[in-house]
Amino acid sequence: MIKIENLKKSFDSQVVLDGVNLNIEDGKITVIIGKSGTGKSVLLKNIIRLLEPDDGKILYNEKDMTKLNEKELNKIRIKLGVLFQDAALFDSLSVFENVAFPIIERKIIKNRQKIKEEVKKTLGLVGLDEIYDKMPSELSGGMKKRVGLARAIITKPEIVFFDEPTTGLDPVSSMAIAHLIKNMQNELSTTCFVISHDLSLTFKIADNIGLLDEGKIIEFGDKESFLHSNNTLVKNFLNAYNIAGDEYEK
Amino acid sequence: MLLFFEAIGEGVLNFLQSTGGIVKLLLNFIISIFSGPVRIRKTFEQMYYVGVKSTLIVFLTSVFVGMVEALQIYHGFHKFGAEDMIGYTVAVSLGRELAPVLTALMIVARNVSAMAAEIGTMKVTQQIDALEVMAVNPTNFLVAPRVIAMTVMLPALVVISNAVGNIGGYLVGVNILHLNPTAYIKNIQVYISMSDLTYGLIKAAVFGFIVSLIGCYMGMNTDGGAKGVGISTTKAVVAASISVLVADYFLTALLF
Repeated sequence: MIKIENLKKSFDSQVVLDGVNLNIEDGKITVIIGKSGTGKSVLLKNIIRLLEPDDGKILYNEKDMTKLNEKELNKIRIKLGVLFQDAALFDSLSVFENVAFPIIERKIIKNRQKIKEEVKKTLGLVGLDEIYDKMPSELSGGMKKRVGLARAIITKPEIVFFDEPTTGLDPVSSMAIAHLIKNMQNELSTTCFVISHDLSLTFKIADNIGLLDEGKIIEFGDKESFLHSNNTLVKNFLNAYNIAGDEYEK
Repeated sequence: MLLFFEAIGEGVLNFLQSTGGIVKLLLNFIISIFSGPVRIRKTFEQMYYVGVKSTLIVFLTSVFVGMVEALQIYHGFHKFGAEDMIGYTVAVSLGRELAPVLTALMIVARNVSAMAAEIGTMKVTQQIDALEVMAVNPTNFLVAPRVIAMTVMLPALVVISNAVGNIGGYLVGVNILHLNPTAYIKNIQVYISMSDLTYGLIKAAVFGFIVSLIGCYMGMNTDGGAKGVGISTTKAVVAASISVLVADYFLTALLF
């Protein structure tokens, strides 16, 4: 679905992405892991074109997104959904208005009653009910992420991007978000691209896993092959996780 | 010494960068208006916030300015026996200069700071990124309603400012300085021209356009969390206030 070729991005003299190659497969959950500060968020922002890559190609169904003007880019963007790290809910709008925002903006549904039904259905999908009139400031971190996810999927996007979906959440909420992503993917068959440093989340939801280090994807493959990789950095990363006491292989 | 020149160089570069950024935002604003959609509801919301909600502060400022003016002018005019011209002088100075400039400065303090802070907070919490990935043009969604609202409502506030300022001047003139009420009003009617008021309104519209564009630009270019929002707000207020005074000189030279 999305193929990234030799993607490069620097900020002044600091090289963040140094030739990233990656294939995001249709209908699967791809998770990119890596230490903090390795450029995972920069990679995501380049793919959704919030940042301009210095070099390389981002092919979305064979169309190079780096060559598109804003109008052409927006035609692709309406097929995407993004859950930002802190959910990025519009704090002047209620939960209902936040979730309904993309369908109202794109005039996907015009009938007010049908918009209400769609919002209710989508909030139900992320396990939230009866909070339509609440403001984002009244929600917990986990609830904000769920509302953000509802907003991201209400337009039934072809691909949903997740930027550190469990950061800042307690273990129970993190687990709930992991189940939610997996269930949502099963139910809607949506392609998902997740960046995270949470291995617990990664091994619960991922079909494919990549490790980003020093601006490059140094290992990429399905969950099994990644777990049994001989790459030292991958082993170190997994060992560090083992020391933390989790049991991802179960 | 080197540090001094470095500081000057940095200041000049920052100024040029900001000016270029504001011109770019202006072009995006024009494009976004024609490419649509026209956000009537959001524009009216902003007009209510900028205009209606600012009425009290403009009222208070203007009434006291009018009162002070009457007192100050009396001291000079009294020496020449020209007290009857106080009403006209208050009216013309309010219409041409004080009402548009002081109203603009009050609106900068009240609304431009809020614009920069609100948009800046949206920027650092990725709400503007969210708009972009939902294919919503942030200039069309955030900037256009604010700029249009400010450009329309600042002249409306100046009309109120003129009226209230003149009432303040009249009250002080008649009740404290014991001027002739008929002569006070009659001289305003005889000597004031329509252009004294319309040029003030043109000034107000230009000020509204410039200060809202500056507030939005500073907000959209915020980075660095809460501290960044504070810095942007301060920058917006300082830049917008100075711009009002600079634009005032050039508009006065051009119009009068």
